[in-house]
Amino acid sequence: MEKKTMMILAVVVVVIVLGGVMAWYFTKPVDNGDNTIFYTAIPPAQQKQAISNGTVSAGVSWEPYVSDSLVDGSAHALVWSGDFWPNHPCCVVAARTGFAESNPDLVSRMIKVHLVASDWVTTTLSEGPGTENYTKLMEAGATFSNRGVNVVENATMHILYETDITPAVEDYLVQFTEKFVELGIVTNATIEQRGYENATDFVSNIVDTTYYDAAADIQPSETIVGTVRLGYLTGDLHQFARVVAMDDDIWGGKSLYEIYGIDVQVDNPAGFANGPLVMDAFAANAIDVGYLGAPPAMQKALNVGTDITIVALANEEGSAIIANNDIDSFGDLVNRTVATPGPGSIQHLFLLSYAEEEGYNVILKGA
Amino acid sequence: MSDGKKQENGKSFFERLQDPSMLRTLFLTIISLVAFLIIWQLASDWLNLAYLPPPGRVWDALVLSFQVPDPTLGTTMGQNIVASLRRFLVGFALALIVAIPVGLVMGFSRTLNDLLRPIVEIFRPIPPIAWVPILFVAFSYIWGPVLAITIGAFFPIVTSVSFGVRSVEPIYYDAARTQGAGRMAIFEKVVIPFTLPYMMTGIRIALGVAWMCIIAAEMIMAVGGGIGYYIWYYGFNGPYDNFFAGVIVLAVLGIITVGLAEYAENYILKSRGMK
Repeated sequence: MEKKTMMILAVVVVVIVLGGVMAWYFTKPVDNGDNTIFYTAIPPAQQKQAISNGTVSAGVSWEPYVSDSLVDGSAHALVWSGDFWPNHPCCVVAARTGFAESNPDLVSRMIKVHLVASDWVTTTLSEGPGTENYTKLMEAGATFSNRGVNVVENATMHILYETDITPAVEDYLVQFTEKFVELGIVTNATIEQRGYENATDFVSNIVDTTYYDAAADIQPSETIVGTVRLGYLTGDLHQFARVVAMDDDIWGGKSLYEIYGIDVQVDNPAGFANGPLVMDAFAANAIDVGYLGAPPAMQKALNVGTDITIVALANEEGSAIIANNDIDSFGDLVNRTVATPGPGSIQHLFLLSYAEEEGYNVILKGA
Repeated sequence: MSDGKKQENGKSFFERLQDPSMLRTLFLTIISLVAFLIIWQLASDWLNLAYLPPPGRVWDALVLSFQVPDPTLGTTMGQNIVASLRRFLVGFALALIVAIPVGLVMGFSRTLNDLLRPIVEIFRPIPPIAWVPILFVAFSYIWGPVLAITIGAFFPIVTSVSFGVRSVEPIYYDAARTQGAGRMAIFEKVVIPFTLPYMMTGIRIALGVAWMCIIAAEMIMAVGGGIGYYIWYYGFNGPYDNFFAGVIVLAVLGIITVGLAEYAENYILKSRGMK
């Protein structure tokens, strides 16, 4: 009897020792030469903590997560996405293709609201602190992103609220798609299987500016024209125009959507955690119009076949690689770890593209 | 241990196949799996849904995932399995180390039971996934993910071990006491052997639960990749062929570990003459 008990105990001990050895093996540093930087997937919400407590040396994310760390001094910006890719598209406004085709007027109205609100944001920001509108804007941003006004203020400094999908923007989208192929996130076979000749053909198909062009003629409406189910990301200040458009106070007691005759229905007021989830909401026929990053929109349109149309731009720039205070330059990140929101995101693409240009190689930590 | 039992234990797999009931089980298992594959293929053909790829495509994705590093994540499926197994084994070992003693004392001592039960009951219904961001911040990326698995495996073991101890009939205690056994001797000679079957059942359940926690464990900063990370990434981003390939790998890992536990359970119980 005792012998057996001892044997079981021995097995337990062996398992523990093996576990310890594995944990050691797990943690031991690997030297990959002098030009390798590691990445690991950490959601932006946890990046600030991970950077400040030394779990990672740097992170790449969107606003307001970047400014979270910058404002409290736990990290500083190494590179802004706008410095590397000037005027690059980031978030877009997309519509379910089926919805857009049968309700072109409603989609144009949504874009009109988006244009008016974006212009209002840009004008208010350029007027600077001190105006009543500026205070309202900052308060709306603080409430939506659940952060202090100083974080919102810092965040808006690096975001351009541009709405027009210009040829330059389309070129970026083609470049991103080609990068997806290079990284193996999307294959050429998939692009062909979806019926496109190449990345350029895909982008010219997924982008449709006719709704945007029609929005110029849209006027406010006394009556409600129709209902649109809207989705967006949680606390993302790239999508500030939507927050402003929904604010009754700014527009004199009525939301901008109501002014333009749209009954906006938001079934998920807290927002979606990431772009792929907004795409799932499109696929599940749960939303008609959504705000999300261009990369997840394009990737899932290709990889999963979710039929959406990109109808307007939400913002340009507004992401950054930030690092803790031991890191002075991007080169200091060699053999250290950078947190990214994950391989599908524009921030990940930015990190990889920037590193490539600077002559560094980025691989998954521990791989 | 009787000779008859020993002989049965020593039968080879092929010898046991001669047993009609074993053949029947094998036959029905094959039917079940084949029927499943056929229904999957038909459903995929008829519904033609983006999120339900046919088994053939999933198989191709599965084979490819073992042959070359995943272009997006940078690891092969083999590396993912190793990374996850490490987390799993360390996390599960920790659960065993903590849960077995806690379960034993909770079953053995009424006072300790009254002291510990409220705490166990408070934390038991919380899904391990809820702790993931907190564990990551508190314990960083090596122990955070491991502890997510530990938490999942902890409760089934504690519950079954303490239940096992409490189901020892009072007459055994009395018998031991009349023969002059002290508290320690009773614990060793009566409680532990009696609890063993319950403990093994708890471990078997905990193994299943621990695999369920692998995605939670690898949601944040899965160093070296992992099967949970793979499933998590492809579930969100597609293509879904890869997602289902990951699911199959996880299923096989689960079946193997639970099978091993069943084997160990049978072996221990038989060798102690309990079965």
